Amino acid sequence: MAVKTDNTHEVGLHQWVQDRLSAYIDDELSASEKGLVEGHLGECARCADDLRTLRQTVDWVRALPMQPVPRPFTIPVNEPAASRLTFGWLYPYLKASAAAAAVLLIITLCVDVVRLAPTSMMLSQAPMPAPVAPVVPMTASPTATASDQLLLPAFGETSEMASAEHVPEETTASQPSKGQAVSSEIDLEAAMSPSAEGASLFLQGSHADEVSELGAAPPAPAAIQPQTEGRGAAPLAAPATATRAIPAPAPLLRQAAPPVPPRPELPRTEEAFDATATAMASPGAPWPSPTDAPVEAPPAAGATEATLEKDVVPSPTAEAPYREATAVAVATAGHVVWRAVQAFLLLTLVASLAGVLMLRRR
Amino acid sequence: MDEKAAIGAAQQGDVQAFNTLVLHYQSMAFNVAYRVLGDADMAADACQEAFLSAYRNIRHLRGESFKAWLLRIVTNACYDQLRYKKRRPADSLDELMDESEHGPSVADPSPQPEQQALRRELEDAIIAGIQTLPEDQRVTLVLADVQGLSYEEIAGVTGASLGTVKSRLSRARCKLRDYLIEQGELLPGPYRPKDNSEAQHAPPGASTWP
Repeated sequence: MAVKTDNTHEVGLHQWVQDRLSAYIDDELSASEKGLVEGHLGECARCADDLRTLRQTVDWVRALPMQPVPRPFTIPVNEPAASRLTFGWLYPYLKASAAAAAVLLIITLCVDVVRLAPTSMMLSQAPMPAPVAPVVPMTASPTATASDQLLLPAFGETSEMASAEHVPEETTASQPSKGQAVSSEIDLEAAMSPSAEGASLFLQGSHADEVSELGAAPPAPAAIQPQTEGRGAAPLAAPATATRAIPAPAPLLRQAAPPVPPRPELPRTEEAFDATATAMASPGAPWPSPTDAPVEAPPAAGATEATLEKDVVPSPTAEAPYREATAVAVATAGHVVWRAVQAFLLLTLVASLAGVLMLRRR
Repeated sequence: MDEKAAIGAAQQGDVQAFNTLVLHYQSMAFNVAYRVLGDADMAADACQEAFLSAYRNIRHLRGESFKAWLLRIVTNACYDQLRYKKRRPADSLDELMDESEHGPSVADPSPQPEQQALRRELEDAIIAGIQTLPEDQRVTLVLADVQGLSYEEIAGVTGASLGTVKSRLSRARCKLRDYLIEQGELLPGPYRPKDNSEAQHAPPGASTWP
């Protein structure tokens, strides 16, 4: 028993050696460590005995018999995992693609929101003198025809919003008047949203049923005619600067629904009318997005109700300047491209996410 | 077997190539799992899961040793099995030990009935002692002393530092040694260290097992 427990240094060395007996067995000590351990083992019987029992334990564990494999663990040849390997290399690319598409899509949506914001603010504020609207006049151009009507139902929410706003006023209104409101809004949008064609690419399919529904409604067909007829009427009610901007809405409604109850809200509707014209002429919006349309529609509908002139001299819409038409065409094309980009990003995001999920599940 | 070629082919989706790797490493994988888990069925399940997982993820293997990579998957599958076992305490250690396999030992030098029984008791004691170790220490002990991996290899498999591997292995061996001392009856007479002073005089290397 050469253990010197009364010596702090010896106790420390003893523990130090104890901690290294395992590594000593594996010959994993440095030369200096090995020398210290062997020196201590010569003096400390307990450490020497611990080394012996420890080595015995290790020997026993190493001598444990190898167990035969109970069954082969080979992978079945038809294991579906094989196919996943074929596309496994796509995984990181799909993840990157999904992330990029998501970021870009969010950016485009933010752009849409920013573009929409000034319009809604103007609508909620007092009327402002509308600047000359280069884009709006084109609404009076012959391009706003029945083809545009197809996309109107795409904004079914618009009609709902508009009618909801006027429900208090129309408590006494008959069914035809309500239908008239809807149809007039439809025409308004057709006239005021030349870019709606682009949006229709998005929404036409999903609202196809609504299209047919509205087309079958009695007031709807009538609305087409007033559209051209009423263009001359707008100048009478609209401010001078906006005369050309909002021709269609007012007369249109009148025509579509004969029994319009008189409303005492003329001032308010005029304000709305101005605001609409301003919004339409806003230079901040290169092309009106479909989201803009719903905001503009309600006041326009109100304006139509307020205008009650019977003798309206239709002015030929073909007088719209050629450059305006060109500008509108450019804006429309730009909008179509914009929506196409968003659609592409959305599809890319969905497809990438689906791929990522499939590969991960496998 | 050209391991590199088999790995490359397996990464291209060649199941047969992967299966050559399976056949080469399945004994190692199963014995690691068996010694860590202490149960053949659980070890087989862990191995099946591990090889399937390896097959699914072999495309991510880049430059690393296939053996170390596979052992990491196997040990992770063992941890999964242990967690599963903890959720189902019905599979107690006693039950495992009762059903513990005593198939034909690969190294069976002496077919004497008396010695066979003794060896079996000792083997059971060792296996039971391994099962008492904390999981990390158990895995380290199995990798070092059952599979004979170097400290560096163990560090690569377990993701632990070299110092951690050393200390884990040291503690695992000491605990197992102490366990075997506690289970003194199961040790061959001359080597039963009832206490340190007595064990000191035991003739070294005279083990009757294996």
